[in-house]
Amino acid sequence: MKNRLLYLIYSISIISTISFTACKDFLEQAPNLNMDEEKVFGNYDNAYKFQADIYTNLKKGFSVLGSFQGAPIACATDEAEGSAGWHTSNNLNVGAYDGIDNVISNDYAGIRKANLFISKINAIPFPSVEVKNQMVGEVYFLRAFYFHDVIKRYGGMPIMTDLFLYPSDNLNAPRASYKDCVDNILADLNTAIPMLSSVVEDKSIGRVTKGAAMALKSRVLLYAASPLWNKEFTNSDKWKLAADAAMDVINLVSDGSPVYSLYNTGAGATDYEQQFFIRPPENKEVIFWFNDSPKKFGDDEIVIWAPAGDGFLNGAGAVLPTQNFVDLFEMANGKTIDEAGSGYDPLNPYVGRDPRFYKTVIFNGSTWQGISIETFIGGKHRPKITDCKTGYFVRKYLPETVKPSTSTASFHNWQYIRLAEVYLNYAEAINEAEGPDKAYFYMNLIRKRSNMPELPSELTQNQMREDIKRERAIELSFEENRWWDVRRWMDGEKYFKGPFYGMDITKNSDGTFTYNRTLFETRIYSSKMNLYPIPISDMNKNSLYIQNPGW
Amino acid sequence: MYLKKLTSNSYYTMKKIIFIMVAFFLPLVLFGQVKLTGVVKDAKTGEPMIGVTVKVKSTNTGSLTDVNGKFSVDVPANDAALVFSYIGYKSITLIPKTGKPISVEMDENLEMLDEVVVVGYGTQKKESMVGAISSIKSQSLVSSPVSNLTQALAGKATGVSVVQQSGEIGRDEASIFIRGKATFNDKNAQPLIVVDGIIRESFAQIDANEVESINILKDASATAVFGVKGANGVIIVTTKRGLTGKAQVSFSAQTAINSPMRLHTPIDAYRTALLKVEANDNGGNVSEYSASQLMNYRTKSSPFTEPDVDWMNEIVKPYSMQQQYNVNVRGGSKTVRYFISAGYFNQDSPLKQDNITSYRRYNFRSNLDIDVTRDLSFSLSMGTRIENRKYISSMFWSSWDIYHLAFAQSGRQYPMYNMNGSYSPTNLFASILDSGTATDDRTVLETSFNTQYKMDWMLKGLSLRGQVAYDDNSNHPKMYNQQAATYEYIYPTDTYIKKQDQKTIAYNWDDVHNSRKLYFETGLSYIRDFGVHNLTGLALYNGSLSGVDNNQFRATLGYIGRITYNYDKRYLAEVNLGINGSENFAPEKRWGVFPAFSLGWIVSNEKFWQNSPIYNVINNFKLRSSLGWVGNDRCWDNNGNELRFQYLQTYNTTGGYMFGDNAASGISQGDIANKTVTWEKARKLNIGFETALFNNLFILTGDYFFEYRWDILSPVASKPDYVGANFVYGNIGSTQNQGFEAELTHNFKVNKNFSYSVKGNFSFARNKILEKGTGDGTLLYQRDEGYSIDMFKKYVTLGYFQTYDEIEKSPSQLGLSGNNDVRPGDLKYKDINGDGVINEKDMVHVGFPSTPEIQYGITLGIKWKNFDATCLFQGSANASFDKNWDIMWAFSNNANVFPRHWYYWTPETGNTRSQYTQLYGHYQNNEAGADYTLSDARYIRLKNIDLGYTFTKNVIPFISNMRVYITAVNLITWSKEKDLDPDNRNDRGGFMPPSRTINVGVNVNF
Repeated sequence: MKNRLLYLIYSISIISTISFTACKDFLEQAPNLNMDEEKVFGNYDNAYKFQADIYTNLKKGFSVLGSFQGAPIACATDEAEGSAGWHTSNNLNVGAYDGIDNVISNDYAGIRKANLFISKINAIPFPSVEVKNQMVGEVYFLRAFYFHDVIKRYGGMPIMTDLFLYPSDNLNAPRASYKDCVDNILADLNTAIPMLSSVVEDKSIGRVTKGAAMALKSRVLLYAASPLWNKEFTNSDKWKLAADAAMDVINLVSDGSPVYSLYNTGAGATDYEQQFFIRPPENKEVIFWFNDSPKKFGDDEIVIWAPAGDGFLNGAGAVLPTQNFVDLFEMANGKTIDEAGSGYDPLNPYVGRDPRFYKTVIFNGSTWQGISIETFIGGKHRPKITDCKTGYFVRKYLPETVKPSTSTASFHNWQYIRLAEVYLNYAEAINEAEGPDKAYFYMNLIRKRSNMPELPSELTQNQMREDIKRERAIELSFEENRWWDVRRWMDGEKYFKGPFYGMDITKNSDGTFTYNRTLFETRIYSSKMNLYPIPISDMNKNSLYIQNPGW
Repeated sequence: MYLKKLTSNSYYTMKKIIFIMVAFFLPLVLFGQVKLTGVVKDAKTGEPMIGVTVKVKSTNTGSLTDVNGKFSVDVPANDAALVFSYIGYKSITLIPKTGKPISVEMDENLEMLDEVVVVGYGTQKKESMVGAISSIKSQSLVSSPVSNLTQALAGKATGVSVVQQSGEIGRDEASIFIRGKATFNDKNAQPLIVVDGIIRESFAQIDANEVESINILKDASATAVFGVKGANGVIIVTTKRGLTGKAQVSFSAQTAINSPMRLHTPIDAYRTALLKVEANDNGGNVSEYSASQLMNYRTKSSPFTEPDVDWMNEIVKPYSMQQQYNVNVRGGSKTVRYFISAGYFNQDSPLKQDNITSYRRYNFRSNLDIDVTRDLSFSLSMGTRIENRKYISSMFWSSWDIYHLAFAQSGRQYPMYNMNGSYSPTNLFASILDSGTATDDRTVLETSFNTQYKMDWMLKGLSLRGQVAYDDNSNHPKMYNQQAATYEYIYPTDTYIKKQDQKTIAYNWDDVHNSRKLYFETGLSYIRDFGVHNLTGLALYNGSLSGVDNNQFRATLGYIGRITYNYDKRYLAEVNLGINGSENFAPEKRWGVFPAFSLGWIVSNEKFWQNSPIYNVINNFKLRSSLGWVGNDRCWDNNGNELRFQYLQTYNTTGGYMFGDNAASGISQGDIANKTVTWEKARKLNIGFETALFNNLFILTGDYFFEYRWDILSPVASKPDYVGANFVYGNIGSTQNQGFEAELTHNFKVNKNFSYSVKGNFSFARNKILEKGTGDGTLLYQRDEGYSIDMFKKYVTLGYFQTYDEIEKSPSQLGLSGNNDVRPGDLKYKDINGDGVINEKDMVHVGFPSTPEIQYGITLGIKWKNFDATCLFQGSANASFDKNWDIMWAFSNNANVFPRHWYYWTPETGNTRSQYTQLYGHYQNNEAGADYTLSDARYIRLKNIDLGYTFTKNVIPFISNMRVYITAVNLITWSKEKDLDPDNRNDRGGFMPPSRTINVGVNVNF
């Protein structure tokens, strides 16, 4: 009996004691969170980081369409064609609009972050009122920026000020009217403008400034006043409001001197080209951009745009300017190519054009990065007819110094708003509000920087409007303006529909070239495409959504 | 300390036992009047049987056979009857003739009514079991020479669906579902794996030679004790243990050739080019090939510019080798029993020119059982494996980079090698020969220490049990990469353009992962017969702690109880209870209570039954039913990431944004937390019967089951984008799942030399989504609710348009996204909602779910003298899979073109003979996503043929018996799907298909 009891004790000792003593708080395995709501917003350093993270919902426009080596929106406009089969721009060009981009969820994610931050302002121990004003002002701007990114696609959408907690009773929300959305955005911007500094220290460049908020306001008002929206946006003096908002940016001063001016060292169109690779304070033209580290040739955002073929290892040549776009460039004398006396030579089409042409497009016979470009059929950069099917590559936004297999890097910042756009915003708005007189000055400022002649005087309002449209197409090309401009003008059927041409160039035995405009695609566009369709997956989730007309 | 004391103590105990034993047998010798001697042999093998009980009927006198099968027993009178009994064998009673040695041959008991089945935390007699359990015995596992034990389950048990999606070397594990699926996510629907009483991740790599049995627990009465995780069923793998008797040494060697099943064969380059030209012409596009190029393709006169490479045949070996060896020793004395096994498995690369890829496995197992005293016993079980996987770097993650390219990349694009000997672009030989080496070494150690202490002295039938287990697995992937330069030859200029740089081999990365698990249990079990009342009880407390590297541990605690009662082997009742806690939920949501109740009635044990003539036909008839609740505390998202601690609102560090020249790190809020998250629960009902006819000639079992699953952890599917963040998963979904299964066994011994058996099983399970959190805006007929899990939502195809007139008169298909042209030969879709336009609103659920609803298997076996043969047919039905890529992507980029595309639509072929739409480069109409690309995954497979011959001792000296055999696996498949293996569901045909295996082997017992 004694032995048995001993065994019993042994067994219990070995097994049970291990078990039971190990069980204290056994199920408490959850991580000890080093960050929770209180630790994030109750601590300035953490709140600072949270605020910085709201910027991360900004997206560069270099390859927004598609998840793998995507194409820029330019490829869905008359500016260019996306070369690869997987480029979703190709779907847009045949009218397949569902699931165009995932921008909406990204934008609303930014809006939620901003809402969360704004709801915690009183909890955050800011070191000073100045710091608080600047940080809070940035957040109001970003919320406005993200929301405008939504409504320029879909029109009026739900205005989010709410923070949804785990499945709230009702996730359904109605679409707000376009006007309410614009008013909401303007209210945010008007809150932000007085809080923001005009100029930030060098170590803070990239942060939102007063001018950025004012410039966005100018754009928001211009879009709202445009034909696509003016039935909904019913303010009677809407063009004047837009013009004034633009003029406020132009007139913005800091320490007695203007904050913004065109980047102009007197080098003509070269300044226009270099402007994209230079940041403030040297560059006083750019107002709001995606502040990023310098890029090498191997980085996606350069490789995708770079030419393909000999000398450009891994260059994708994904963005191919169309002939339709090339034809929009005036001659250096200021006349359009089909105008009498323009001097345009179809046998030598690249001679004597707008100086910006040579900084925007890589064409057959041009030299880039020291390599002579051959986009004639069978040439080094178009060995097969299916390669480089328009005959052009983009030059704009590509730093010439950044070459393959070198480690040279350059700033390559995606610019959201620069002064030239604000000038054009003003010109367009004032031409509509008061006629062409006041539009000349800023149109000519832009043209003169690139050594283009001034506009002819005595233009009618309509002629001025057409000139402004062309000027926006050329000056702001590949900057994600064309897609929105053509829509708000309701000009899609004019510019985005129908035959699209490339240039098939054959090299003759005597070394000369024969140029042949060749149809590469007939594109689809109808007025319903001025607005994006709400994806059916989203329609399914919200019973209060009403689909955009025509979809 | 304790251990040491215990050992010295047990030494004295041993001495004591020996003394008691001697004392016990002494009286037999003293009082013997007539001494009978004899030998007991196995009727089948002729082997002497050790440890057979020889008892004089109606007395307590008896003996055991020795290592030579011999016994001697003293009987009181000459006409005394002797009873020979042994577990698993039919008892024999005979009245020996005096003076002559007795020779007895015992038959295996195939009825197995006394069979013991391993259940959760114990064993039960099959006879009195009320749960729904299927068993697979070692014999039928060893005869399948599979590289992965999961594959051996196919067709062998009711209610088990086995889908082997790929034949990837070293990772060809089949996915297993028990009674179909009742939850949304595949990973959440996996059954629980229990190896030797311990919950373990996988049994896939266990050597089949080491396995005694695999039991599949299906209903709540069997799984409730696993409360936390039993909802999807439980697979219990039990390894072999030692048996008292002479050491039995067994050696087996097998070698097999594997050949891939159903490789895709594209059509040749010339015909492909012709089709491409035709497609371009129809689409108004620039022709890709000139007339002279077509001529070159046709005549194959310029293989470097117009090549015709059949990549699949160039890189895939027609067959590759596989070897497996195992040696094991099994035996024991009265107090110590052991099973020791060592095995080796080796599989070669399926690719030509690849002498890197291989899979090698070394496995060892040692199971020891020690009876320290009559009351106290210990068991030590240890299994360990070393798994060495070696791949060419391009195949490290999967065979996709190789197989998919061979499948999809057209051979007309580039030659195998350029004229100057360099690699052409995207070259598969470059991927095989010049991609570097990657290894993935794993070591697996699984140990458990078990103790049982009988406390009959305190309460008869009571024993104390305890177990501690420790597993330690590590894996170490390591990669060296290299890359070959590739060049594209440009014909017009006769130049080579470099497409890819050369990179010499360099260390890329390596990684070490360690996962550990500690498990303990302690409890009491009780078993006692009070006359006609048979009672067992179990009370257990257990817990486990496991983790990978430094991640948060997973922890569970459980209180487990079971009471079984049977009255006179007629009325059975059982209550099971699991009370379980999981670390995964907030403290107030952490515990779940999972009870199960079952009742059984063995009708054939009733007097009225046994007295009636029906007993002559139906000699066994049992009804059983169970109702219970089970749960699940784990949750994975659709990308296979485990979601944990979802009740905590997390904030994460992010990369942030750059200000000035400095990146500012950021903080963002994680997914919106769910404070209420808790158990996923299932209520399971099972009603079944077991019956045996004509004295066990036919044994039939059948089960009906119904399961309701709720609080399924699922994503908030209705979350609109404007919420601006993701919600974590919640207890949202609910489903039901019901079906039936039946199994019929027929064994017949025609005469001494000839016997045969037939065993068939059939299972059907159909699930239905009741709630999935579908958004409010969804059209009623497009909701998943009411349909099975994993069904396809597609357009319904009515055929091909034949004429423009037909297009004109049909509902407009221009509502399809981007569709602005419809031509004859395009697919015609059904206007489901009748609004005259085909658009997304016309998509409906079509076909069957991707997990088969029907599974069946038929095993036929014959034995004639020393020959034996088995064959297994296995099949599944009611399943669909999508071949969209395969069918629709042929003309995109430079993809391959397959025979069906050659038979494209023309006005002449019309609806009946066309196998593909018209050729036209614009697919917005035809690629909209229709049932056109859905394939029927039903098949019947001749899964296994096994032919063997057994040499007995008489033939070969020193060897007690030897079996030589030849086995074939996956020999023939009959299916509706002709191109792909119907289990190889990858839409893109991109993974190495499962293999057909021919295997020869020998098994020697010394």
